[in-house]
Amino acid sequence: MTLATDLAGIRLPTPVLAASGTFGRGTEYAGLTDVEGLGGIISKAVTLRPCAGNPPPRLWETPCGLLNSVGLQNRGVEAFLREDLPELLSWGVPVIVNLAGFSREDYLETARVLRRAEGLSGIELNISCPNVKRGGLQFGAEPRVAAGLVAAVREVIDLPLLVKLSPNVPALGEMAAAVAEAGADGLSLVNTFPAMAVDIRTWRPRLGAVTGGLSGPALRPLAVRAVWEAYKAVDLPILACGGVSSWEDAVEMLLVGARAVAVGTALFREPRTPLMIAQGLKEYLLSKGLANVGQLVGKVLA
Amino acid sequence: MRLRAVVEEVRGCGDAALLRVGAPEIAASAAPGQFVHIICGEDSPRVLRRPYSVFSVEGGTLGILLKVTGAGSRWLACRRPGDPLDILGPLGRGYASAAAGEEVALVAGGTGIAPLHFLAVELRREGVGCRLFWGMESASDFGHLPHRLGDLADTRLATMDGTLGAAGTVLDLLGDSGLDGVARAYACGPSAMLKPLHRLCEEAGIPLQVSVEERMACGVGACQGCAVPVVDDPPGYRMACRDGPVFPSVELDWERIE
Repeated sequence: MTLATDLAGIRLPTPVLAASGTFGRGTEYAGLTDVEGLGGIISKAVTLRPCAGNPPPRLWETPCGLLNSVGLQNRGVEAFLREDLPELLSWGVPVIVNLAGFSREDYLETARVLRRAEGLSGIELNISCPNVKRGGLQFGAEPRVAAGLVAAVREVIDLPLLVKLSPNVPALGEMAAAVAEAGADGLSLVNTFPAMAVDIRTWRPRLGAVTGGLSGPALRPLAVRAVWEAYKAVDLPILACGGVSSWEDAVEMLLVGARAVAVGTALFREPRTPLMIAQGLKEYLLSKGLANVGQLVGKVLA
Repeated sequence: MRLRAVVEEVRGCGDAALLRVGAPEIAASAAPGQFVHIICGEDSPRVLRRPYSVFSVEGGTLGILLKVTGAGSRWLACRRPGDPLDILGPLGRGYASAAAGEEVALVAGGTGIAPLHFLAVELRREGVGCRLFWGMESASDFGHLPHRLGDLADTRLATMDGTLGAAGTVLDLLGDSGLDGVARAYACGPSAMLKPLHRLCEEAGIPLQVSVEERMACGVGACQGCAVPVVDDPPGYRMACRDGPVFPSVELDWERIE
């Protein structure tokens, strides 16, 4: 029995990763969890140039959920390669870079810069960030536009390419098929769901950017359904993200077609969540007499 | 650092509560202005921990002062002696100390008293003279607590409804002469209080350190959620959890802070 698995050509020691935007360089959690025990780390979104992010407040907690409007704050791809990547790689687990942009040329130029990086395991192409006015979702809303960008990035870079999609796409199967056709090696499902909250005392939005993205367990059923839709539509490996907080949640994602899961919001409360999920998966596989998680993928009786 | 801590005592202080929590490793290294990050309810709908500035350290025991403002703080206030608590800490950067013999002003709004109480204890030990100005809504907010600070600092109180100390805000209490002869100032409270205090200290040439209140998720600098606008070129943000929660007030971009 092994937890090791393959995701779009990326060898993962376990199928439980830290989701983009939630794990920093890993250093932040040293001492709180065994970072070396992760299946992989997906970096915070990286853009071509430094990005200041959105005005505060950037967070608002809702029942079983969290709204954020961080807005791609990062120091740009050059600083990422110089300062963040060496630390991320130091943990000895696969590192996947979340690549975001504000224009097509942004994405491509950043991809060209990332080509020089050594040690990267893959790219998570972020065409689904709800927190920026330009770019982000604008590339992830229409299959034709998404496919155009994916094909162009594919030309630039050889690394395994996962495309991160929004749960707020009307025909997810069509979208998945379009990016598969354009050369994606895998899908990452889902980004946060566009969301909003209002303070009824002041009549003002809870978030400085007015709207944000919903994550956490409240999002999970939407993510489960999205993974299932995509799994039926395309023959691509899927990384599932969206409220995964326990091994039971991970098994559910595997059953609807995921090959691996990423944990985000749950880390804030319990930094050891990915390790606890990996342990739970191991015991589950043993109890079912299964040799690997691949034997669960897509096995939902539906 | 992460601990399974144990609640030792929950004391009602008016509408607030003071928790005494056995957490020896955190207590041993906590400095004034640092905070702890607490899970408020296992299996609850609350996905985030709650950050609390350390109110006091006595031996291996942390004091945590809280006002019930929502479901998380209500859960905390309902703990009983012996209950376990899941705490991360001490987190963030605290107040820089003062020199022995100096006279300093501590300015607190509401539960902003928490880090300043801890600071006053430390400063007094170091031979620094403390003038404490504490504003709150009403005498019922913190029960007997305001009356027990006399040993610690020259304490002056203000309430919005005039039921305790002077009527008005803590800034009214400071008035024209509150900062006279003060070498530095420390504050914690809502930005509506910190903003004018910053201007006041700037005019008087008094260095001010403020602890900001910002909503947090990870608490360790990973998620970029608790952004605080800073004076920078181009204008940017620092994180309250990792870079703060205490900042020299001149570093913050008050124009962009509401």
